[in-house]
Amino acid sequence: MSIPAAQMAAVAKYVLEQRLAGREKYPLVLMLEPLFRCNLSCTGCGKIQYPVSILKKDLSVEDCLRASEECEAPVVSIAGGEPLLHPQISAIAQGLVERGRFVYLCTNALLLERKLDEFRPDKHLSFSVHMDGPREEHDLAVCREGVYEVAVNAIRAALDRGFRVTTNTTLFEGADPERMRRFFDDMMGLGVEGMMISPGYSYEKAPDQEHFLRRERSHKLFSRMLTNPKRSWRFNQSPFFLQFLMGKRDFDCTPWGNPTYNVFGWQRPCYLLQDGYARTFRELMEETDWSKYGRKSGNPRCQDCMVHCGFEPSAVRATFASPRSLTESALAMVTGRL
Amino acid sequence: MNEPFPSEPRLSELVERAFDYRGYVTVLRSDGSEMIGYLYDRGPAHVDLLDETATRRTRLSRDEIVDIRFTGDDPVRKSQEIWERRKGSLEPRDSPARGPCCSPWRWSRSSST
Repeated sequence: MSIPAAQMAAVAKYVLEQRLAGREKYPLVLMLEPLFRCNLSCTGCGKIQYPVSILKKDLSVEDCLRASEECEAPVVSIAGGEPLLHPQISAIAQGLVERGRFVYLCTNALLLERKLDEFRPDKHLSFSVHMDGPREEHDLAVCREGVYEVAVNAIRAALDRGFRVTTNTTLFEGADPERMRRFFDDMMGLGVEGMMISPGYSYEKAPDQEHFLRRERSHKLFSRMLTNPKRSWRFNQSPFFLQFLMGKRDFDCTPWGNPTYNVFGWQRPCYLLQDGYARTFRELMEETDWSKYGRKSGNPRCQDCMVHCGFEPSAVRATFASPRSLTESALAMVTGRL
Repeated sequence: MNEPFPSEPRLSELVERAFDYRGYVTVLRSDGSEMIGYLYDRGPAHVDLLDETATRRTRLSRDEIVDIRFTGDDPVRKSQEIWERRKGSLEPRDSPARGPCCSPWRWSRSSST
């Protein structure tokens, strides 16, 4: 596992503080969407289908920092849309870093190399580069030729300049486990800090409705990909979440674990579903009927979801549930075995 | 002459459809006025609209809604049509890195706005 010790310690301290305070529901990662517009139109994305004026709208730096202060999660994932299209993205990232947040700036990397001058390397800032597999699969998923190559060059440039870089891979029906294993080798060969992987969520608004993975298929795919993981592979995710993807553990979703803030407000209930908006983080936490979500609720939109924004917080909760689970997780991190 | 108020089930159905719709709608009010916007949320007694410039938020009481018309282009349908048309082909390598890319639904103003 590759999460840096300082980040792991900060998250562990935060989780223990929440548990000691007796809080049942608390956020781990703020999903911040400062804009919806994107410079790609990926086949499995249902995030960007809005009227032009909404696509042109940006959250202000102040809005973003206020959201982070309201929710207090130790980690902020800046998503979208393509965050590097936001004219003040570096000020947003810098403001969050100055507040001690660990920031993952998600990007398709089309603009990364030319924007690097706007950022300063910091242990609190990581570029999380969208890479949906080997060259052919990635370019197909993002519907544009040459994007894999641009992203690889941008990763090299960012690493050369001392930035933390991780990759974020979304998998769909048809992914080849052997090719994905070679892709993991390639990414580690580039020198990235770690990789994140997840099955795609079946967005109702996405153009391609045929290639979303169902739960059983996800288990089979991830099991074949991650059985006997190579020691060189590092994942920027908890071992329990990876075991969940493989079908070795079962969790229900923790939708409040990764609350989402965007141009409409605090999105109910999660990053993937849009059932409405709260004006404040407190209103989101206190007035959302959380019993309507997660697999056990019977909500059909949750049945096949295994996405990290809902289940990574569940995995972290399970990790801290007992000394035994904490030991199991630590062992998996040290040995790399899943 | 003002239009009659819709029945509660009819109004609920309209509001839910408009909430799910990713384009602009036109809300007809009991005083005869119209409001165009993006309906981004709703509650038991209200709906929330973002105006066409995406700067002004308005909360309308459900009691004053006479009808909701789906007057703006549907970005979901457009993106699906574009995707269907280009199935099997990719955007060219030299597409602009900043956009606008080849998806006209994103950047051209809809006829109704």
